Amino acid sequence: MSGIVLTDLTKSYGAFPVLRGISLNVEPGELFGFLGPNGAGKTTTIKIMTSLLLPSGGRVEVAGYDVVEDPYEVKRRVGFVPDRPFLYDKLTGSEFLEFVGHLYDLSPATVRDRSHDLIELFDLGEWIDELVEAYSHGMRQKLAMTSALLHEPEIIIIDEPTVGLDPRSQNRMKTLLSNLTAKGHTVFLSTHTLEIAEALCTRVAIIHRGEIIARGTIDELRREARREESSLEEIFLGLTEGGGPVGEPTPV
Amino acid sequence: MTTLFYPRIAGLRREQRPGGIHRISVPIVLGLVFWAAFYLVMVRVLNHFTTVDPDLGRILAAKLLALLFLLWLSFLAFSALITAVTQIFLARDLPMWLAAPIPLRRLFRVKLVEVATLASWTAIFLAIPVWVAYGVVFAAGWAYYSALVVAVGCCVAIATSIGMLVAVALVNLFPARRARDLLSLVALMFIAAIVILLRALRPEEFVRPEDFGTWAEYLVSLSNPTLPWLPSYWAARVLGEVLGVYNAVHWDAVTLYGSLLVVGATVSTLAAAGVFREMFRTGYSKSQEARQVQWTRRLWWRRTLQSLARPFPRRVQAMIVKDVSTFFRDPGQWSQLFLLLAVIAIYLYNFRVLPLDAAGGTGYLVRDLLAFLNIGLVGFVVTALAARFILPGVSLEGQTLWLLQTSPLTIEEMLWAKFWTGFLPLVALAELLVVFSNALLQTTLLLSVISVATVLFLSAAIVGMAVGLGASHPRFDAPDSSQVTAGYAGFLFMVMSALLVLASVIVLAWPVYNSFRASWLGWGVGAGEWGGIAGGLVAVGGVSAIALFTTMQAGSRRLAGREL
Repeated sequence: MSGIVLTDLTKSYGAFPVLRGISLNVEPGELFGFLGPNGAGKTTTIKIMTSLLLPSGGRVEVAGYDVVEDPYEVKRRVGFVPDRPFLYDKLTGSEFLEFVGHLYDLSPATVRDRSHDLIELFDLGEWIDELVEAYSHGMRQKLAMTSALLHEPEIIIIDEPTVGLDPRSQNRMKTLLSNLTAKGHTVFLSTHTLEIAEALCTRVAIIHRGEIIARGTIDELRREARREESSLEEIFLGLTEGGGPVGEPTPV
Repeated sequence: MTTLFYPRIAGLRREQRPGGIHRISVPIVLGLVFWAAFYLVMVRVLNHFTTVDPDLGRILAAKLLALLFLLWLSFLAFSALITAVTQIFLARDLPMWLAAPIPLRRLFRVKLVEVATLASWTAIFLAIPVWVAYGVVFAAGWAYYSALVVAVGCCVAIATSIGMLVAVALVNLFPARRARDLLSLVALMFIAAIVILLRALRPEEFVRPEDFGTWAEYLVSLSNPTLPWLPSYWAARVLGEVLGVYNAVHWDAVTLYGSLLVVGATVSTLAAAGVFREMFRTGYSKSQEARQVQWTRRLWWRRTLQSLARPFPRRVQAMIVKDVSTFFRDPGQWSQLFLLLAVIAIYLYNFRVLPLDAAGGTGYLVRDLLAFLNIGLVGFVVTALAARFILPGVSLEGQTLWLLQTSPLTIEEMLWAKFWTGFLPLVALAELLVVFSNALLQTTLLLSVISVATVLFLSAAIVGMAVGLGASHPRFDAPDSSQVTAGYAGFLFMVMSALLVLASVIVLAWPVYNSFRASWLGWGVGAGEWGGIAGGLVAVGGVSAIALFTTMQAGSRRLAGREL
């Protein structure tokens, strides 16, 4: 199993540079947190990792495949949940899951078997035969999460996993993510919710103005920021308000 | 007021920057070609009217102007009604506007201008060659063009304000999603009614003066006003009078019908403003309610769809089942099938009532000619349906495209799934039209075979072009499919498709004529004629294949290069 390797990744929209040569290495089975203020480049990085955008420079390998050269091999091995999952309003939840399952070449029976537990976990059972247009934001998020896990991806990339979820679902999501990494799946998590990152992630990276300004375990970040007793939030605020890299980043 | 228009004006300015003149030059050139062709046809028709028999010609010109205005106003009213519901209740910027301290009267004015502009520009664009042709043939002066501006402005104001009034009233009775669905249905019924009304006018009788007792009766019948209580007649009458179509200019009629237009526009605008002020807020609140569709969620429906899609690979199957399911769950889409049924019924009925016997001993020539030209007509029907239902397919994926693009589904698979979803029903319909109309015309087997083969090639090419061009120029921000059809891709597709249909008919014309001539002269269709027909069909098939594959490939390439 392979994880995610970003090497000197750059991306510009016209003349405006969004990513300025970022490098990361996410190990297989790791739950990696990707943090940063609004407009720092988190979503752009994720879009490149999921083949939605092409990089301007550098190299991105996901699950052992280059996202530019082998996008379809990458897609087979990745489950992606965006921060605002737009789904097909005119399909029911179960039809949507069957549709996504077929996109990943799963048989209807496999889709049924695999989705059953996830539907229960997210309390979607009551709604699964209703049209998606009747779903709340949180329910759409849960349905998108369920569909992203159907093909049992090696790598799961999630943009803001808990936005719109009620406290119980947030809790279940956290447990699910921990269980997934325990089973060997790699989870790449982009979030603003620092408590989640602090509680779940083995390592985090902080991106600011298109550059990685810190990375490592929470303890490593504390040492780098010279704030031994600080919370992740305090470290984050200190780093992003300062506006530049802190010391020499730990190799990852 | 200027502030409220700022987002749209700024958006338009920004749209013009990338690509600049190159992006807009193609539609401008195609538009000019369309205008020139339409203008020349109209001038020829009007000149023919006035030179063959000046008295009858003038009556026919006036009648034609009234009929064209009736069709134009119907199109405008339909467009205004749908645009009004979309812009007043379903526009994405509404929540922001309603949260701001904007008086309702100002919001009404902004929406009036928006609806009038969006609903009328296509109708005006299409009609300009007709209006100019009338002006040129009847040597009109400034009075005609001034009257034209006033008449068109009044018609647009009437259609827009009535569209807004009906939209606000209906949304108060039904939730907006339902209201739009209902409006689609009402508007389509309205169009079908207009078409049936035109059919009921029996235009074929105009070519059969022998059915009337005397020549005078025939002229009187033609001179009778067509629906004089509609603004379309008022506008046509004012313009007809100013043009001198009625031999002399009757200024009392100009004043009467001109006043009716101005008063009609003023009263309808004031009425719409009043209804908007009183009923908009409650209507908007109701418009947020949802609704459900039942029958397409039954198991038998799903099983049937899955069985039909089984011959395709699994991912293509999934797309086909998804596209068909979502189509039938969106009444804004499927309700248009009512219009389709009306068009088919009238189409076939026309062939049934054609006065072939009026052609005497040459009836068989007319019959064969009609059967041959019918290939082109069916091509245009397929074009219209593909523009409405297939072209917007990729754009409608819109914000859900992330799901497809992060899955192993390739862009080629997605486009081919959309091709098959559109092609199978459309080719079935097109072949049905050809076979039934040929049967009604009692045409030869040879021509039937040529028609069936050509329509097969054309349908494949037209559907492929609709999918390919829809993918090349998607509009992911379009709130509904009609805006995609009315956009750049729709225009480009309709022009390219029309050219393909015309080219195919022209390519086949000579070999088909040769075979007919051999058959009419009793020589029998020989090897030379068969060879010519086979060559023609191979050429049409080849051109269709090139059109299909090049546009699909271009669509796939451009969509792949597009960043979400």
